[in-house]
Amino acid sequence: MKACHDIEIQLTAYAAGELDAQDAALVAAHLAACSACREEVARETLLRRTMGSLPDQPCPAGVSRELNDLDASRRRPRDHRTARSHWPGGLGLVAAAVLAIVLLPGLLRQPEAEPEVAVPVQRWTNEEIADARKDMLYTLALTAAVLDRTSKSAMADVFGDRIPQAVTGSFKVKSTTRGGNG
Amino acid sequence: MSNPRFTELLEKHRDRVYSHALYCLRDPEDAEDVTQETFVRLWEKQHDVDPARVAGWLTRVVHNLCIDQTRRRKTVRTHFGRPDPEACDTLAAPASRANDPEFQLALSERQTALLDALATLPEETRSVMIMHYYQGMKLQEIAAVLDKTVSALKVQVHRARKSLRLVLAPSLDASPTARMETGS
Repeated sequence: MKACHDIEIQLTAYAAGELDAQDAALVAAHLAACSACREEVARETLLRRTMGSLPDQPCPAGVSRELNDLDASRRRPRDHRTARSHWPGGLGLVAAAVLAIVLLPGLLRQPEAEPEVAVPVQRWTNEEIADARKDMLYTLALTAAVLDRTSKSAMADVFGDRIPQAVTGSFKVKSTTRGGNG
Repeated sequence: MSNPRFTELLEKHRDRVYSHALYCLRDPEDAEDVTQETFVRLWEKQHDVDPARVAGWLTRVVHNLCIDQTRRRKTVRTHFGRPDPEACDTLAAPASRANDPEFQLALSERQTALLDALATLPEETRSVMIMHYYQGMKLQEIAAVLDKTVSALKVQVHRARKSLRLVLAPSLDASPTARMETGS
C-alpha cells in the first residue's frame, strides 16, 4: 500500500477525475483502508464545493465602458492605477519642495555686480543680519512644515484613511528629532 | 469603429477575469485595474493571440498581474516601517468587501472564511487555487497556461489544502473566522 503522503498529493486530481484508471484504483484502494486519507478527501470535497459555489462577480460597467471606448478610439485608457500607486499627488509636492529648496537660493540671489574698484564694500548692520536670520529660520520652518504635510498627504494617497500606527508614529519621531536639532 | 472580435472577447471573458482578480486581490479597485490592464494587453496583442487560446492567454495575464499587484502592495508595506499587525490585516484586504452587505449576502460564512484564509497563501498559489477550484480549470490546463508540470501543481495544491485545513473541518459551521483568529 502506498504511503499516505503520496496518496494525499493525488487527491486533488482524484477528486477532479483527472487520474488515469490505474492511479485512481490505487487511491481508491488506499482510501478504503485509511480513515485519515478519507478525512482529507472530505476536506478536498468541501474545498471544491465551497470555492466552486463562489458567485461570479460582474465586471463593473465603468471598466467595460472604458474598454469599449478603448476599442472605438484605439487609444489606451487613462491608467489610474499607475497614477495612483506610482506617482501619488503628494510626491509631486515633495518634488516641488525639493526643487524650491535647490533653486530658490539661486533665484533670490542678487545679480552679481560688475566689480568696481573705487566703491567700498557694503557692510551689513547687526539688525539686517538679525532680520536675514529670522527670514532664514522662517523659510526653514515653512519648508519643514510643507514637507511634513506632503509626506502625510503622500501616505494618505497610499493608505487611504487607514494609516498604520507604526507609520504615523515614525512621523512623530522624525518631527521631534528635527525640532530638537533646529 | 469598434472591432467586433475584441468586443465579443471582452463580453465573453470580462466577468471571469474580474472575478479572478477580485477573489485573488479582494480589492474591487485593484481588481478593476487588473481587469482593465488585462484587456488592454489583449487589445494590443489581439492579432498575435491564437483565438482558440484566448481564455488561457487571459488567465495567464490576469494571474501575473495579480501577483505583481500583491507584491507591489507588500513593497509599500515594507517601505513604511515596522509592520503593524492590525494595519497589515487591513492592507492585505484594503478595501475588502467583507463589510459590503451586498457582497456578504452572496457569500456564506465559510466562503468568507475561506477567502480570508486564501489571502494568507503565497500569491501564486492563491491564483492557482482560484483557477482550479473556482474557475474549474483542470490541473493539466493550468500546467499548460503557467508552463508548469502537473506534478508540481499537485504538490502546490496539496500544501495549500493543508494550510487551509482549519477552515475545512467538516464540522466547522459555528464561526470559522473566530477560530482562525484565535488559532484554536
